[in-house]
Parts: sequence; C-alpha cells; structure tokens
Amino acid sequence: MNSADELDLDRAHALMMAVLDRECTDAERRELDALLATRPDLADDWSRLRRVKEVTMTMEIARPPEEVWDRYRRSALHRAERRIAWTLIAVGAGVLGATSLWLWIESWLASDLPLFVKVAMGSLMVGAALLIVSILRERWHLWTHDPYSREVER
Amino acid sequence: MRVTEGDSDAALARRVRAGGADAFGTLVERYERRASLQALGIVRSREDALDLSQEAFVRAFRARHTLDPDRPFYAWLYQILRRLCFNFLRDAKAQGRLIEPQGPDWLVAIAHGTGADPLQEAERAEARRRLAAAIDALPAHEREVLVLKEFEELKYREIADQVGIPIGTVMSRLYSARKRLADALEAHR
Repeated sequence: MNSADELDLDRAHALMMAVLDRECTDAERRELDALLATRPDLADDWSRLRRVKEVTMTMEIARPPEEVWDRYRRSALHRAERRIAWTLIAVGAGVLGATSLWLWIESWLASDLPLFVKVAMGSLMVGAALLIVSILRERWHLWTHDPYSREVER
Repeated sequence: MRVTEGDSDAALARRVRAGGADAFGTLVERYERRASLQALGIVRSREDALDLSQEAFVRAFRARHTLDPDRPFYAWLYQILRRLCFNFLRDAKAQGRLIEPQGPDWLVAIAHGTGADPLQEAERAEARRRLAAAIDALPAHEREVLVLKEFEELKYREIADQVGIPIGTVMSRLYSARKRLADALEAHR
C-alpha cells in the first residue's frame, strides 16, 4: 500500500466516523457514499461499523444508586480537610525531627568516644542520608516526568 | 455572599480560589456523577472509579491557586482525573496487580418497553453482552474516547478539548476501537 492509498484510507475512516456520529456535512456524506460505491472493502467495513453503532446505542453505563452521592460528597470534603491536617502534621514532625537530630549530633560530637567510632558512625549516617536523598530524587523525577500520557495497554 | 446552585462555574471557581469550601462543595455536587462515570470508563471498576474521582476533587481543591476561572472548570478537573486513572492503571500493571473490573456489568442495556420479538430481543441481548466484554477489553486510551462519545454523548470537539488531543486523533481512536468491537461481534457469529 503506498502513501496515497493510506491517505485515502485515513480519509475514509474519518468520514465513516463523522457520518456514523452525525458530525458530518452534506458534502462529506456524499464523499463517503461515492467512496463506498467504488470500494467494496470499505462498504463491508462500513456495514460492520454501523452494526456496532446500532448495538452501542442500546447500552449505557450502569449508574450507582443515588444514596452513594451524599456519602461521596461528604467524604470528598473530609478528605480535603484531612489532607491539610496531614500536611501540618508532616511539617511539625519534620521540624521536630530535624531539631532532635541536630541536638543529638551536637552531643555526639562532644562525647568522648574514640575517633574511629565517630568516623564509622559519621560514615554510616552520611551513607544513609545519601541513600534517602537518592530515593527521594528518583521518586521526584518519576513524579515530574510522569509517563501517563504514553498509553497504558491492558 | 452565599453560594447558590445557579452560580456559574466561573463564579464558583473564583470563590474556590479564595478558599471557599462551600463553593467547592457545589462544584463537587455538580460534577461528581460525570467524573466518576468517566473514570469508570477508563479503570472499569466502580469502587476504584469513585475513589479516583474523589481524589481528583481533593487534588483540585489543593491546587485551587492554579485554577483559572475563565477556563472551563470540568476540563481542568478532567485532566487531573485522567492523570490519576492512567497512573492507577500503570501502577497496577507495573505491580502485576490485577484490577478487579466490574466485568462487562458496568455497561447495561437501556431500559425499553417490552413488545419486541423475544428471539430478536435475545439476539440483541447477546450482541450487547459480547460488545460489553469487547469494550471492557479495549486499550484504555481507546475505551476512554469511545465512552466519552457513545455514553457521554460528547461532540468530537468537546472530547478533543477534554482529553487534550487533536480531533483527528479522537476520530482515529474511535475508528480503531469500533473496528476491534466489530471484529469481536463477528468472531462469535
């Protein structure tokens, strides 16, 4: 199939959709009729697509019972409030944690432990901090470069 | 000033931006059904769809400072919702976790009066059952567009604006989805 045929096919498919969904002009409808008259393969395609449309027009999405919505609304508002509460808790915990860490480091530096123990503990803490920063950075990168728009296949 | 049901989205959005929880509640009430049904069209599980659409409202409230009252509120909300739904599917796939879809049960027949030939009605019911299963099995991006067109009855332009894709892509996804559905209908004949 050459590129001209592909263009024709793309155009034919677009016309079929527009006519099927009644979003076409009279000229487009005539254009599709003319195409179908000369292309039996497209005519066959067209009749199959019309059959699908006929069946889908008799279907709808099942609606949840009405009582679901009251609960839904309340829960959405409570969730928004809870999110603020969690943020405040996280900020408070972060400040307290950082202060405690600082106080602990100060007392640890002032302690009379042998130098090699201090070096080993310092190395352990720096390693753990690097690890945490690395994980957080990776998470942040994933979050900001979200590939959701690449289609998710089943 | 009190919030009334007749307030426009733009008026409510302005109040939400200023932190108005009552205005936000009115917007939730206005769009909760639409958001959760459209999420259902993507994730196929009612519980997850309700949860994700609720989360979309929560995130929208949190990000209210970025809300532009002069642009359609729902289109903005849908971008958040869509992102959540596709992330949910991606994470489920990455973790090898099976999403529990409603099965084809999330699509049902439109209730009609009786009187049709029982044999013909049985054939139609069978065709619907097959088609519901085929819609359930569509790739998520095709199912999303198909649901917006067929069951939410949006125009191509509205779908394009809401999903954030060109009209040509809307039409090609619809064609591809319907072709798969036609194949599924035919395979069982």
